[in-house]
Amino acid sequence: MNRLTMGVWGTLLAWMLVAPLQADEKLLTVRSPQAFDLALEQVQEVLKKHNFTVAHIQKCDGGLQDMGYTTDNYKIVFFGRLEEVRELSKTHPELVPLFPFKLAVYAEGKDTLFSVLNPAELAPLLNADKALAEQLVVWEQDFRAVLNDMQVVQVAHIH
Amino acid sequence: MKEWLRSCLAVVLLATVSNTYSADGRALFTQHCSACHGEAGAGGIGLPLSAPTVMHSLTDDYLRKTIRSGRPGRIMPAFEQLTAAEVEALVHYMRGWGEAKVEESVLPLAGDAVRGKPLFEHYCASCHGQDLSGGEGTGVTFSRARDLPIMPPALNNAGFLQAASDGMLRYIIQQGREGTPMPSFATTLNATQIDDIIAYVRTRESDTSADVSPPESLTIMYSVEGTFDETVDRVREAIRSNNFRVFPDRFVEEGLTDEFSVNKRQISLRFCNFSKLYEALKVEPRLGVILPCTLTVIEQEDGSVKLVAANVTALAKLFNNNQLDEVFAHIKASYDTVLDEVTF
Ligand code: HEC
Ligand code: HEC
Repeated sequence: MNRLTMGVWGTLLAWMLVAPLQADEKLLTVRSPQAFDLALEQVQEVLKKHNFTVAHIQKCDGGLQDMGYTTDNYKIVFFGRLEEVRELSKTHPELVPLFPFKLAVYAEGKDTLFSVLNPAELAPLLNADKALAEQLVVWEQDFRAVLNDMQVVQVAHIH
Repeated sequence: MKEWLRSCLAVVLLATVSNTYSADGRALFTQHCSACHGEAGAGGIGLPLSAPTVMHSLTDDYLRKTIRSGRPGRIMPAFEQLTAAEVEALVHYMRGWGEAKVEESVLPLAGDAVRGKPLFEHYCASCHGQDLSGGEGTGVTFSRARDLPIMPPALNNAGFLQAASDGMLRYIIQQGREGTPMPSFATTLNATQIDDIIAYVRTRESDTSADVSPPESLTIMYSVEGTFDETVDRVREAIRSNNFRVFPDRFVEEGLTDEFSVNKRQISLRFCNFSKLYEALKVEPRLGVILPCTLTVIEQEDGSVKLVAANVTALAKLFNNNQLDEVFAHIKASYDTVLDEVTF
């Protein structure tokens, strides 16, 4: 096998291995068969495990109920990493509205859902340079890792 | 050596290929579909799929096309990145919920759209909408108040109409879907009337020609005259005077570090309109990822002051949900009102 053929096979192989990861998902969402309060507690642990800090939790449901609306549990978890926020708001001030990141946590029947923007998909909208594009991909991987961990159930309810 | 390498590579390749072929449909469903369609297809933001009466009415070909093209403007994304084998594995897994009972008629559709229009308006529009755009919201969102337990899908959707055969549409209208609000019209409408309705529905396919406008930037940054503190005051005043519900200001770094080292020259002013929020969450539970409305004032190292806002038009495109158009128009107007007062 000459170099060229090997190169072609190698590329093909590499492509086959990574292709399924390149999903065009602008929002990342997972479902956990776990009750809301437990899921909300667990996600804070999981975020910590992935070196994120939870900045605060906004109680959208509480706000709505105070205004007289009936709604099920709906919270937004704001999270991030201080060094990244500090560094990038200097080098890329246009990113500031994204900070801290927002994770929507909401009940659907007995399940709990988690949604977050997919940072990697935002690259074209941020006119990202190479360094920023790479950072966005790293965040995507981190977010996916967090969401994957949320599918590992600690205390599931009975369906 | 070369031979050795070659066979090694072949083995790896083969392993990858066979691995892809035996792709686990259940795992793929959990990974790509269950967030919206429920763990075992019971429904969520997406329609319930696992009811046998639903599966009876869906052909394999329809499932494949639906996975590939999604539903433009109705939340379901197009899964272009899945391999053919993965799509087959998904279809195979879903078939476990029920076989297809649709019979494709050999006769071409002979319906008359003009006769079909009043029939549709009489029998179907109350649920699927006069303009065929479906119910308000999608699927089964258990947590929010709805008129129906399952929201009627959009029938004018190009993703749907291009995937569904006439035979399939006939079957669904005749049989309905027991266990869902979709009634059977077998005794109400005769075969000709059903064909007329189908012909009419086909004429209403909405245009999904791709949006070719270049992507707009996600955020907009304004240079402002005046000091940091003056700007913060002006933005706060503009938000207040427009009757938004105002949340307490937050430093961008607040909560990420202690109060001594937090950068106090980056403040987020946050506001919201709860009646709009309530309506919006009914049609888009994922909306929280961009909430609340925020204007951020930052002072840069050179002392210049910037006001940074999200670009609502760009955000709107991330959701593939055209029911949000109105909400986003409203959110954009809110931002514009405040921004106009502050930047001019
Ligand atoms: C009482 C409300 C109601 C009425 C009336 C009604 N539908 Fe439906 N229809 C639904 C619901 C809800 C669904 C989704 C059911 C499911 O799969 O869970 C549906 C599903 C469908 C589907 C399948 C769409 C898809 O995305 O798979 C078709 C086609 C359809 N209806 C056509 C019609 C036509 C044509 C009429 C009039 C002759 C009609 N419906 C009348 C509520 C209704
Ligand atoms: C982001 C949410 C979302 C995801 C992810 C999603 N769907 Fe959907 N899907 C929907 C919605 C919403 C509808 C109904 C559209 C409407 O109401 O007009 C739908 C409709 C469908 C239908 C049509 C059902 C019928 O009765 O005709 C099928 C089949 C389907 N989805 C399969 C899948 C499969 C398989 C996957 C995973 C590969 C998937 N969906 C992933 C949201 C989603």
